[in-house]
Amino acid sequence: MQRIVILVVIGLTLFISIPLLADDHSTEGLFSFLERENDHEKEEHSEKDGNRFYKSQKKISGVSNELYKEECGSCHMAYQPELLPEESWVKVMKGLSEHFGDSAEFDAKDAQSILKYLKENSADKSEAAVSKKLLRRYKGNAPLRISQLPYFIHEHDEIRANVLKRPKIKSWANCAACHRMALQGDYSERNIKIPR
Amino acid sequence: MKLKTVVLITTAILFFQSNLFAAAKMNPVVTAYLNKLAEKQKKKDPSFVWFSAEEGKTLYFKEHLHSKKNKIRNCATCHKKDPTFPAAHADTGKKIKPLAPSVNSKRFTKRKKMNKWFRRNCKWVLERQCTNKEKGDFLVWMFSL
Repeated sequence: MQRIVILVVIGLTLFISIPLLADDHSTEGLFSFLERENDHEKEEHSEKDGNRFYKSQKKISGVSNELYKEECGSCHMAYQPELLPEESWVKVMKGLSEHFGDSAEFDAKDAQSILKYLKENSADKSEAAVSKKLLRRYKGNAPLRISQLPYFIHEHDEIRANVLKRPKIKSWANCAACHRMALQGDYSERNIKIPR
Repeated sequence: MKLKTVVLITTAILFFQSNLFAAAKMNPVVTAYLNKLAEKQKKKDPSFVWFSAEEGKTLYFKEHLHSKKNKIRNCATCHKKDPTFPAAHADTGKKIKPLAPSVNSKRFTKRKKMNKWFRRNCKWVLERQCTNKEKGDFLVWMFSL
C-alpha cells in the first residue's frame, strides 16, 4: 500500500514538473513544451536551408490604425503592415480599383494616409522576427499577396488544398480561421487550431 | 391576482415584440440621403413618387453573372438570404455583421460609408454603379425588415 502511494506521488510530481521545467510560460497547457521543441526544430531546419538565422524576438501586435482597419478590414482581415514589404504595399494601393478582380476604391485622401501608414510599418522597416522571416529568400518583383512570399509558402506547405477549401477557412486571406490570435499579431504554432 | 399576472406578462411580451420585430426606425442621415435620392429621381422621372421596398428586395436577390470572375453573384452571396443574420464574405470568409438596421443600428448612419459601399458592392455584384432608384429601393427595403 505504501509503495503505491509513493509511486503515485512521484508520478504526479513528474507530471506537473516536466512542463514547468521545460516552459516558463506554462499557462499555455501541459503540452506546450512539445510545441516549443517543434518551433526550435523549425528554426534549425531553416538555418540548414542556408538562411540567415535571426535572433530577433520582437513581436508584432494588433493593427492600431483605425482608418486602415475600417477601409481594409471589412472584406478581409486588416493584415499587419509588417507582413509585406513596402514595394508590395505601394503596388496594392495603386491597384485598388482592380483589387484581385474587385473594386476596393475609397476616398483618395484616406488612401494617401493609409499608404503612409503601411510604408512606415512595412516588413522592411520592421524589427519584428516575423517580418525578417517573411523577407527571407524574397527577391525580384514584390508580390501582391502575403501568401506569395517564400517564407509563407514554406510554412504552409503541409496545408492541403481540400483543407484550405473548408467553409470555415476558404482562403489564405482568412488568417484568423486557424491562427486564433492573428488579429493580435500572434501567428505562433501554439495558437493554431485548424477548423474541421 | 392571476389575471393581473397574465395581463402583465402579455404586456411585457407585446412590449418586447414591438421592439424586436418591428421595422427599424430611420435615422436622420438615411432620411436625408433618401430625400436627396428621391429629389434626383423626380427630376429624371416626374411620375416618381417614392421608393419601393418590394423592388429593393428584388434587387437584393437579382443574380448577375460576373463577366471576369465567371461567377453568379447577388447581394445574398455575402450578406445571406436573411440580412438580419450575421454573414461572411464569400471569397475571404471574413465575418460580416448583420446588414439590417433593425438588428444592427450602426448600419446606414454615415453618408460617406453608404456611398463607399454602394460603389464597391454594386460593382462587385452588377459590375456597374447602382442607380439612384436602386439605392433608394434597397434602403427602403432594409428599413422595412
